[in-house]
Amino acid sequence: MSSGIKLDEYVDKMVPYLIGIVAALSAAGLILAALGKNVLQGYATLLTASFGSTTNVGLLILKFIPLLMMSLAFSVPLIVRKFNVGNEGQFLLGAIGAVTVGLTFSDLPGALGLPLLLLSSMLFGLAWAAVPALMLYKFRVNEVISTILMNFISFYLVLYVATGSWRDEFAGHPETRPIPASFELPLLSANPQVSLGFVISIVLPLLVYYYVFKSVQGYELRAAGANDRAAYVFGINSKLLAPFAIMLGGALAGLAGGIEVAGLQFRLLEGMQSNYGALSIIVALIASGNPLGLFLSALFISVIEIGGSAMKATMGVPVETVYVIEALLLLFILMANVYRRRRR
Amino acid sequence: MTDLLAQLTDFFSLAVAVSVPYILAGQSMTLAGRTGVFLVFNEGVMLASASSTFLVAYLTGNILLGLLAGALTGAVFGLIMSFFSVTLKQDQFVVGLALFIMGVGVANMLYKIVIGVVSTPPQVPTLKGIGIPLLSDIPFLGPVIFDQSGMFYFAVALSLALWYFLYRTRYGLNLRSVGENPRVSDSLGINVFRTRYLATIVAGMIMGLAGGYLPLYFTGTYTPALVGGRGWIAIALTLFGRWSPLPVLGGALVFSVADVFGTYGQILDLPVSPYFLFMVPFIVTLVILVQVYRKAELPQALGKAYDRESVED
Repeated sequence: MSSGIKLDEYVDKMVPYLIGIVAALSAAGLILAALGKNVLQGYATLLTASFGSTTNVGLLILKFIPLLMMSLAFSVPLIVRKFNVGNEGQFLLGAIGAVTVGLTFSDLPGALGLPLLLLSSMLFGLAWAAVPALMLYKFRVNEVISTILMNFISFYLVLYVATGSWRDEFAGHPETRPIPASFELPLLSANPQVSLGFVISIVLPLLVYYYVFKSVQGYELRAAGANDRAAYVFGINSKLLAPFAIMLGGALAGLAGGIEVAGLQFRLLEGMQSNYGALSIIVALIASGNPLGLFLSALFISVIEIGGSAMKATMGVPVETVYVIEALLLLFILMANVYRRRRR
Repeated sequence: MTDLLAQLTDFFSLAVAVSVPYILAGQSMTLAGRTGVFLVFNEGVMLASASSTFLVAYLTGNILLGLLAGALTGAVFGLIMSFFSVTLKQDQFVVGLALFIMGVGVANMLYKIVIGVVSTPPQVPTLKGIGIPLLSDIPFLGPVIFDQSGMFYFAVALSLALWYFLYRTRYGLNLRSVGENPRVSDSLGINVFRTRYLATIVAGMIMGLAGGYLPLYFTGTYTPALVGGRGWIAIALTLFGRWSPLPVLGGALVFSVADVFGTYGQILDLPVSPYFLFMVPFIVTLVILVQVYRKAELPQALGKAYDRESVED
């Protein structure tokens, strides 16, 4: 196979994404025009806000880290056609797991404490995902509903923990006391504040990519996702793989929560999950769950998010507008992909 | 003793009022599901409709116009859902999740455009109970069932009508056959695509009314947390009701009792953190889900796109 054909294939695959982006941005322009805003200024803000200054690049990275990891947590179960909509709750449990270590074992040296904190966040996320995984394994309960319900339970669990004995009495908002400074992730740069979490979040999709596309178990996951009955006939235990993938996703989402605590917030904070859950679904579905594709789609959605905040500040456009644009982007890409396949 | 009766009466009349969005969302899912379209966009569509209902009611001062706007909002979402799932044959969960997110975005965007960010949220008039003469004087049952808002009577009537339509008319039989075996329905001359489109759009309208009820009944205001998971719980309710209107109607009461217990349980002065009480509806739903899936009965073609040219079946 010559490299020319391969390039053609890539271009052919990229076209729907470009069409999707153009269509979604056109919709954004229409909305701005309908609101009586300057459309060109809107585009300029939306696309350049992330790169205007080092502070803005820092903001972009801080959005990018949790978004990339959360979309990875959604993507791993997606390989077996399972929708881990519960990554939001697993993220919060990861954050609870992190402060549990940080506030209980605060005497430990950081060299021991930080790894323990991150491990705890993964285990908490995994345990939270184990409930829907078990319900799927034993009773075939649809994971979309069960994981979402677990999210709602996690919101109240966060409130319970953040207003309990670990509460920061001086904060006006439900939040815990900070973890010891020795438990924090080392900073790569103080301004913008970027921690080692950035490196972890970039390495993990690469590891997952290798695992999914180069390992035997990864092959089994993909086979079970493509056709679980056929996979079963060929001796792959597809019944066990789906719950396993959901729990792996839970560990990744939990780690995302742990990194958010140890690298940015240093405490458990009500609402710290922001809108990462919903955004990560869009990011992962745009990339069809491909761990490498997540880099581009997470970056693009982060840019749009930062741009949306800037448009709110400078032009008075509601931030929720970008939410609509992002959902439209996914729908337009789905549509363009259908027509690409039909053309053949 | 009379004190206890008064408390129980209050509790259950609240539960019946809370059941309205569950009943409507459940019947909406039942209607679409019976043609093979699995709706998961509920939470977002209900919020978008709550917002549009509130805004139109606020701008015109007319609750009915507000509800109409909510139904239309839902219809638009139903139309998009059917275009992507029926015509483009996309995964119904993927499209449903995208529309859930879009619904949340549209809801809050519209509210901020029209109202802006204000310290005291504007209010609209709320739905009042319509006491049915004589019946509403019966102790306990009177206030609980016969002194509810018009929307409750509408939701019950709609459930009965949907049951009659699905199980006692030829159109209903045809509709259900599309959800069981679209290929056979197609060969019998039933228009599978049109059936799914129509059912999903009407289901969207009913879902829109479920959302529109929320700002009109409880507080007269709109907040982003207004739906608060009821859209997702409605999925569990529909599974619990086995995609049939009458069990869905009855099941709605189970879920609303859990809902009221979670929201208003603090009044009971139980020795637990209120946050654990708030978890109750979601935990109850999880437990019910396990029971439901033990003997799951789903329309056979649920969630699957129909492709006339495909050979597999």
